[in-house]
Amino acid sequence: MKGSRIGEFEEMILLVIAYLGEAYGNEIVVQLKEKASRKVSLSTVHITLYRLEDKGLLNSRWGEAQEVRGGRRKRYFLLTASGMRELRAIQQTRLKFWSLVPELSI
Amino acid sequence: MEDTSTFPKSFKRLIEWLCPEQYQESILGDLEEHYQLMRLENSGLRLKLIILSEVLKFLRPAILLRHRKFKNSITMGLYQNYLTTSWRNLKNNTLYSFINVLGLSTGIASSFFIALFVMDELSYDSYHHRADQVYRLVQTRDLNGTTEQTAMTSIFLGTNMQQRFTGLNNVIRFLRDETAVFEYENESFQEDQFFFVDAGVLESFRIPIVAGSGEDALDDPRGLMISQSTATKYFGDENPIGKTLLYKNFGYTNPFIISAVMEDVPSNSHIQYEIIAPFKSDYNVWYRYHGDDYYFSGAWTYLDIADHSSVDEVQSQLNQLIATEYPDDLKGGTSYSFQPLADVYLHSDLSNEIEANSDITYVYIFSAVGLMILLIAYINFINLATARATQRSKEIGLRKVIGASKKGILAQFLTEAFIITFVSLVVSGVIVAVLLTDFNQLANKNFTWQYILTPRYINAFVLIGIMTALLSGFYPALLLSRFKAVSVLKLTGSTNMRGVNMRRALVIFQFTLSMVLIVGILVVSHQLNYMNNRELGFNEDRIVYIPLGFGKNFQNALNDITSQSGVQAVSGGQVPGTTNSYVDLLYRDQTMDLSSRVTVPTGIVYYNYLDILELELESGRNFSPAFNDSRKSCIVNESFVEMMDWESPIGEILYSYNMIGTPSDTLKIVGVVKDYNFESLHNGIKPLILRSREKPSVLIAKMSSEKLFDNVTAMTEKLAKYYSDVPPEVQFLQNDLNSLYQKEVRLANIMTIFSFFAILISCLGLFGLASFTVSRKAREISIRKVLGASVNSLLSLLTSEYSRLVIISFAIAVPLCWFLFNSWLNNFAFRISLGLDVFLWALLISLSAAFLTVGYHSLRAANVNPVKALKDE
Repeated sequence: MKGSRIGEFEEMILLVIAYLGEAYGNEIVVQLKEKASRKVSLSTVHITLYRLEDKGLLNSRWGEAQEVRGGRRKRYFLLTASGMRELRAIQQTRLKFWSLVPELSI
Repeated sequence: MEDTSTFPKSFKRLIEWLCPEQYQESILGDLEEHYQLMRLENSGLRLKLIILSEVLKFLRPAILLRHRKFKNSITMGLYQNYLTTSWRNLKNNTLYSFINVLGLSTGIASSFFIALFVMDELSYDSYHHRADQVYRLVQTRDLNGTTEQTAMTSIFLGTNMQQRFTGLNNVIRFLRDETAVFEYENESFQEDQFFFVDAGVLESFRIPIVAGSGEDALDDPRGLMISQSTATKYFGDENPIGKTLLYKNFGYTNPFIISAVMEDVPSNSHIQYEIIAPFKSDYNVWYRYHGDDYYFSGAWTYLDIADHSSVDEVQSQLNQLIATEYPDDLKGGTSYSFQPLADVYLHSDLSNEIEANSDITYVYIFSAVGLMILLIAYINFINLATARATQRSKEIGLRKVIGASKKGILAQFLTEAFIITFVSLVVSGVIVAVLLTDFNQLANKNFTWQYILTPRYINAFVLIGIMTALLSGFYPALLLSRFKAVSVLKLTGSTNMRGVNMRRALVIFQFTLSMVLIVGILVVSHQLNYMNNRELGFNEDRIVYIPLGFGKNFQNALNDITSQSGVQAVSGGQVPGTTNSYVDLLYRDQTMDLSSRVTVPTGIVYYNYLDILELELESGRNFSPAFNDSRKSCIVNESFVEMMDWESPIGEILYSYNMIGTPSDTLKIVGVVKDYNFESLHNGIKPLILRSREKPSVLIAKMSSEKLFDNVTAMTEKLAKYYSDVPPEVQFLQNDLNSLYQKEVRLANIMTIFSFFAILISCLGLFGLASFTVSRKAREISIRKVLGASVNSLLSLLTSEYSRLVIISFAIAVPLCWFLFNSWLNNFAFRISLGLDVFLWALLISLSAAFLTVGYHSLRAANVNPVKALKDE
């Protein structure tokens, strides 16, 4: 198995879900724009969510129906245990490397 | 107003249709939410575009392929397998793929060009607001047993219809002033597309206004509508609305005020107006002076009939009007019919058409050629595919053993056909792009990319593509899918014979089509040659002519030019070769009795007219100043004498009356001229009268051959003073005569090019076919060779099959061509007869094409060392 199975954008989405607890498509688009100033289209987020679900890093549940969505339910995505593990693993690998980088004197 | 408070329905349907069910709710929900958010800041088209782009982004493979039926079934894998094997197959058989792609793409490109041409021809005038309800009035006059149909009718008739008829929405008259000159700030141009038009045109036709007053643009009698390009020509970047444009004609100068600028007229309109003035304008001299007589037929009249049931109502009112109000001499033979607006361009060839029209026959001929080319390309594909069946049979057998169904095999070969078609479509797209300008030149059209890339033509292109894949792919796929696994794998050899007869029939069909095309080219070009070289009865060499308008300067101009160097002789009068000749009203009887009326084409000519054109007198004498002939004498042609059945025509008298019915000249026949072709060769020679006049309207000069062009230029400069604004244009009679047959020249050119492609494609197919036949017979050839057969005998063995097919095609093509081309030639009064030579040429060309393509492979096979083919065993 390769060290990490997910890409940078996938990691970003996992992180958003991690701190929100659970999230749905539009919410993630908004968060990415506000916190990371990244403009992404709805479809890109959706595709990534489905892929992460396939990989078993996310779970989903149906939320409440809303007027503004034309009476449709939200599909909330939550991290699975292996999703959390994946994020931690990435973080630890990064930290390990960062600790090896010599302090730069300015 | 459309409801924008919720997510657009069409987008919703798109998602529901294409996206996997399990995701639809969340996708649509998110989209709707997004939409509501966007709606706060955007609206209208912008909002729609933002959402559309979001929606379209959802339609990517990563989502579409998540359909359950794709995800978990074997079918998906099978389709992938079809694609892979098809692709490998095409890659490994480069010759086969190359021939197919080349044949199909040339075929598709050719037929697309033809479709472009044909669809454009068919689209004429159908874009108007009320195209279905507008009819052109056609006038039929039956006089002396000859019927003449003209597109022009009298102005007065239009006025009466406007004022009194019921059942009509609009009566729209177009009257052209071809010699008008317009001036703005000392810059002037001659405008030959200037019309006086009734205001109803804006309602019934479709003339989009770009600037200025809209519906009432023609209400002000001094208002003028000009096209965008005319506006640029006169005013550049200035705003033309409200500017004054001076209208100069007949020595008058009158101011028009620009009331509107209209879009340039589309090329598919049979009226190519540039400037339009109100019909009731004070400056419309025809309306002022001929506005209340039925004799002067000067306007094209279009009727916007309220609904189709009113046609009879209008017709009966017309009959009533003719019966009660027409002058006696017009009453008898005059009738009117209605011609649908959209039919004018392709179905009408009357005298006095606005422009020379096209002909539906040519639409049929081109469609047939386009279809033939496509068929030939399809046949190539089918033949090559079935011929290769033997090679593929083992693969098919194996697939079937493993469990492939008939339907699966069918799908596989159709996939292959679709791949080839797709590649061919791309290649043909490139061909179309590269050759578009050349095609425009050839077809005398002006197709641009903006015009082609409209749904209408894109659909045509895609349709041709799908048709290609299905028509050419289906039969081979069906044939191959029927192979029985056992017999194929046991190599019983029966598959070799499959489709052979079908293949032969198709080759025969292909050759027949090619021969029809070859004979077509030859017949058309022979007829053209014949028309160009026929003795016309006069000598057109080095004859130039200059229209002088109303002839008041004729004598001065004649004197000016006579002394000029390079001018051998000067005269004036009717220029032969123009189809629309002037028809005069003449009577044999002084009482103007109807039964004695003679209506024949009339030429108003100067004294030495016969000499300058080298016309021969049959009897009598020529015009001469010595006899004081002007307005007193006339010369008739032989056909005229024949029509009148006169023993001795010399000395007979004809009486002429002017337009308003008062007697003008008394004409004595002084001579008879031999028949000559004063009209195009489409028509026979009609009776003709030449009347002597001191001031004909056209100056004719015979030039000497040296420094011809310099002398003509000098002549133009000399005559410039008689034209106040625009310099005169000297025209060569030879050019005019050639342009009479433009339609046929265009037909010949297009036929030649496309027939060449058709023949090329069928040769290509034959080449591929022969290569398979020969490779299958490799062993047979080697054994024969070992046993002592000569190369020659082997060659004849291999080529004899194809020559037999060519000869059978010949037998089919001859009667077909005979029928087709005789009916085309019947359009001409003077035509060639279909000789044996054209057929023999077609046979020779086809035979040599077959020998060359088949012979090449045969020769290679016959010369190969027999050991090579035999040692495999």
